[in-house]
Amino acid sequence: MSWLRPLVLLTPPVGWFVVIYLAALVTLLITAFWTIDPFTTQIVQSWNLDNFRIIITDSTYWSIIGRTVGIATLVTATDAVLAFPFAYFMARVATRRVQTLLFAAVLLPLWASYLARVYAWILILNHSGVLNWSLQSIGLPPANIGYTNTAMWLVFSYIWLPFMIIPVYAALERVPESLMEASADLGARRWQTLRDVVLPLAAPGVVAGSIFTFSLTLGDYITPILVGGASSTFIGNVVYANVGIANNIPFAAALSMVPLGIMAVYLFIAYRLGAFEAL
Amino acid sequence: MIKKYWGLATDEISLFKNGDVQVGAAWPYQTIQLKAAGAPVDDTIPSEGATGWADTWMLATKATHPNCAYMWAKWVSTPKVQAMQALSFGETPVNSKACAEMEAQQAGSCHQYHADETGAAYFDTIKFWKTPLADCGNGSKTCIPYATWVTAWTSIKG
Repeated sequence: MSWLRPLVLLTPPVGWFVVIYLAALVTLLITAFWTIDPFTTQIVQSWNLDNFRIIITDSTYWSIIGRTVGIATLVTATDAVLAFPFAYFMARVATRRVQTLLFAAVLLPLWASYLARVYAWILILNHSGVLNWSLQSIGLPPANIGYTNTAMWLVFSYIWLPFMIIPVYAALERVPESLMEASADLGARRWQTLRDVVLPLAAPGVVAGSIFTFSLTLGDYITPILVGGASSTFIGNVVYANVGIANNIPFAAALSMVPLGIMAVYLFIAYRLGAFEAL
Repeated sequence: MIKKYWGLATDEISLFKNGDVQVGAAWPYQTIQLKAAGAPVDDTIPSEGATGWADTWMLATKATHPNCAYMWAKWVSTPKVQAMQALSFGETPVNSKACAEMEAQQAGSCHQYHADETGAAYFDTIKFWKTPLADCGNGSKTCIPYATWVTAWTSIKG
């Protein structure tokens, strides 16, 4: 009867996962195949592929999806480049005390609300904000970054940076010092050691961090509203617009399948690259 | 050349203040705030008229305490409260007796919010919002429903 105890212990979390998480996703998927009645705006449970057909044929949605994926990729690359030196310093160079201080510095912004941090960036990138004030005080012309896709890229990179730093730090901390000493003993220069020993071992951490930055940017809809300009619509904004008075929940559900599918492919690639080996 | 599809009135106010935009669709609220801040702006209504809406209080049919609700509705309609709402939130009050209260708190505000006797002519130029439904209301059922408008708007915004 040794199988009974694990079964009893596993039932609540697995049950939660199946009932609340999977059932919700399945309900969403089923709703995507329905439509709404144009007269009553109520959901009609007639099975059809209209929603998916509209998404595939209308070029508007292709450009919105392309923009969302493009900025998500850019944010992920930016955060990977920014996080790696910082995490390397934290993991391998800093003393214990400095390490604790740096940890606090990385995690402290997460205690402030998401909205407060985005608004802070609006103030920085504004026409009369800190950025332009700094540029003009050294004689440069003002930058027009406020309410553009560039501003969105900057804000997203800032907001998700802690989520990239922590996994990269965890991966770098696990690289044994002896490996780096052995590499030096075999005649490798510092850059060669970094490239051939440290980077491959840290790669799973970077991939794990990229899952956070990519998926969080993919699903976001608040930052485009606050910081974005005229053509800054994300997938989440279209979903948000269709829920509400329009009550076009089937179409919103169908559109939600797109980032779900993209993330499924992304997670599969991450799994193949070894991001989940530490689990 | 569109800078932003504003969702927060404060966005449009700061864009005008900074000189980032020259023309925009606005509420009287933005004009009043910008003029108070000294920005060189003004507003106008084209000959075709303007659109608008009215915020209302609603009482549910099966409300558990309808008397309390009626007392609230009565209080909210008094001139003092109407004036407070107008000056802090930015909507023209519906009680014309609020004019005196508004002038007492902020001189000139009654005319600015079209709550004085010029308000009736101003009201006639406003075409009030209706939720678009396929049922036109005049027997025809070929009007464009809200969901189709949302799709069209998404295409325009890109």
